[in-house]
Amino acid sequence: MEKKLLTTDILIIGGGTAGCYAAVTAARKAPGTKILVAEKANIQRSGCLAAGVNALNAWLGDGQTPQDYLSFVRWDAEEIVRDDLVLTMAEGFHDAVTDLEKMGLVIQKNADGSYAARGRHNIRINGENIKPLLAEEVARYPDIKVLNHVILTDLLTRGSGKKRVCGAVGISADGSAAWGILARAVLTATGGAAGLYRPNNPGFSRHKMWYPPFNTGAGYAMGIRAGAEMTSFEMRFVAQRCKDTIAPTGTIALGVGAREINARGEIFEEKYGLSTSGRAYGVTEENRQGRGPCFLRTSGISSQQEEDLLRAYLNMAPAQTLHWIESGKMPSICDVEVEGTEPYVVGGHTGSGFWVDEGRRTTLRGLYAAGDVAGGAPKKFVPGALAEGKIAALTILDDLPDLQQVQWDSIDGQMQAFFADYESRVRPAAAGESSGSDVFALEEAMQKVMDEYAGGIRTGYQYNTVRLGLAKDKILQLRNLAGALAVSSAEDLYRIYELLDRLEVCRTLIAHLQARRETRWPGFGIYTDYPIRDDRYAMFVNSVLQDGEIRMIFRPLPVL
Amino acid sequence: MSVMIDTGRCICCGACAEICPGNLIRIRQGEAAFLPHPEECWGCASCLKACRAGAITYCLGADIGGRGGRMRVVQEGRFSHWIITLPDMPPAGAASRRTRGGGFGDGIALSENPEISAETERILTITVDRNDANRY
Repeated sequence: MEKKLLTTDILIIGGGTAGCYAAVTAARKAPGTKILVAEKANIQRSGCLAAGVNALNAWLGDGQTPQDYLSFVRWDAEEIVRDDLVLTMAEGFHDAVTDLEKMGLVIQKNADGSYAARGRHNIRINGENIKPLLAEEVARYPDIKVLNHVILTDLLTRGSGKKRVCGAVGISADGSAAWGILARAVLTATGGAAGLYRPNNPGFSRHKMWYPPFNTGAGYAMGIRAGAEMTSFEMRFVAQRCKDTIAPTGTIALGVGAREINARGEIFEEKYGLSTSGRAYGVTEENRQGRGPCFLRTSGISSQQEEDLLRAYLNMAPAQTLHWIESGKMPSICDVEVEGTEPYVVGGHTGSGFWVDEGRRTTLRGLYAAGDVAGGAPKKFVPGALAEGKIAALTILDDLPDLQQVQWDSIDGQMQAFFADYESRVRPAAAGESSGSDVFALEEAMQKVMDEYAGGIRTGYQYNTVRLGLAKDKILQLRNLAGALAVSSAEDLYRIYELLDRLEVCRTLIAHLQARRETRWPGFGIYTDYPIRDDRYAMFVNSVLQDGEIRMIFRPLPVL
Repeated sequence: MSVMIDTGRCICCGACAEICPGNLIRIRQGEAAFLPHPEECWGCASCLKACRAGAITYCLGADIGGRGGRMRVVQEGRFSHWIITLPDMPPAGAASRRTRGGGFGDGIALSENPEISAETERILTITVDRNDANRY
């Protein structure tokens, strides 16, 4: 395996929405600063926006203020939000979106030139090419170097008390090279974690065109292993989606005003509340009580509305358009069946992620976080991810004078240990070696454990103390097995590290579920031993991995 | 959802392997691109858009209702023509609109470009104009 060593001023891990915009922000503000974006695929089409997106769901329309957005997010998240983070994010929506328009994004306008709203906080766009546009903007700045197809697995750190992050290590996606990168500052923008739980369709169609299955929680896992403080993992996200394709439903609900109905045709949403969690809970509960399946009532929409829906989904989740046409069950005739997804850990929808300060500094010196990997600020969507990328980049520029590059020889031992681990895991399969514990089998086993014992679809998102205890033991056992994994082809090497990252996130998630002894977001999970909201838990549940053990930290909510 | 690569049409350029957000497509010198684990595809269609040879089609697995339909996309400036080829027979329980004629699918031949649209019972085209923002 070839060794490749680089130094840079700013290392950005993940070239998605937040990462690309952070790079652009830094390059514009401080020409001459060396910026490196390490991306596991290709920034042209990587991350959540690969297929496109047809609305920007974080926006201040009709005289709305950042304070209004905060009120909305606080209500939706049942109080567990960081005011400072949501406010600074919302203050950035306008500039981020107008900048996207300058890059070439098509946004629907009213006659007076203002953006056309789809609800209070949404604007309609043609975002099929949003990611290529961002990549094009990145390419305009010679100070930004993009490393496509490089998968970073771990942070390089110095010191033992308050650790300093000084770079990262990883491998090429094809396993041909090991990378060591020294940086004065590191921004993690890897996205959240999908694929922890058994999915809706566990067979051929296991992956869905919504949250990228390639977002493995790598950023969380790297941070956890390095000792960064994490928050609110227990605030999982269960999305309500179109049955089978798991395509987003907002385009139907907000676009054509479709109401949710159960199998009897009854509109039920008022019974469960209109928050994100409440809506998810409604569908689960109607199913549990025998009144499923549930639908979005689209029958009766006009032919023009139907054609627009077909086009809208091609710009975002093409499977849904094909599904309508192939099944012959067109939305103007047949209501669209909905179901909840398996739980995700994703800080752009809920509050899970790195515990950061207002500047998006993590608790480790030299490490910053933005986008889905950063906690405390739910409902980021595209504008919030952009805004956070910008905030983090500006903070890094402020901090850079105090962050000196470390010397290679001071970090060489640590780096070589990672490199040795990469090399040791590629070896020919021994004769008779069972495939029952290969990387795919262990991933499936992990998803089964999480599904059955940590509140997956199988239990209707319910869990209890005994189940969580079993989940913890079984995940640790799988981690031991995964620790010894090897692959025979270097092209599959990164899959081992993806699995190890997911297992690390699962372990932390279970500890968070155990610590919050209440049920605050019934749509995202029900702790059956503590089935109601208990305001003794009106606080943040945080964690740090210390000496191999997860230590929980409870932090108060901001004083209003 | 997944994609199929037509090895006869593939020009071995590697564009699909370069763009795939999951690094799922592999290419060997001078050989057609291939997908060792089609079940790992999430259906983002990035490879369809990157393929200049029109060698990649999009499909739904039978576990989510797929029955052999295929979708490809032809890009022409700001227009994307999504061309959907369906099996001959309409599916059981089909409830398609029949507002513009008799046959299944007549109501959804939306192409504004008659040269690319081949409107038959089996093929339909939906054209998306990049300059149109979504109405929904």
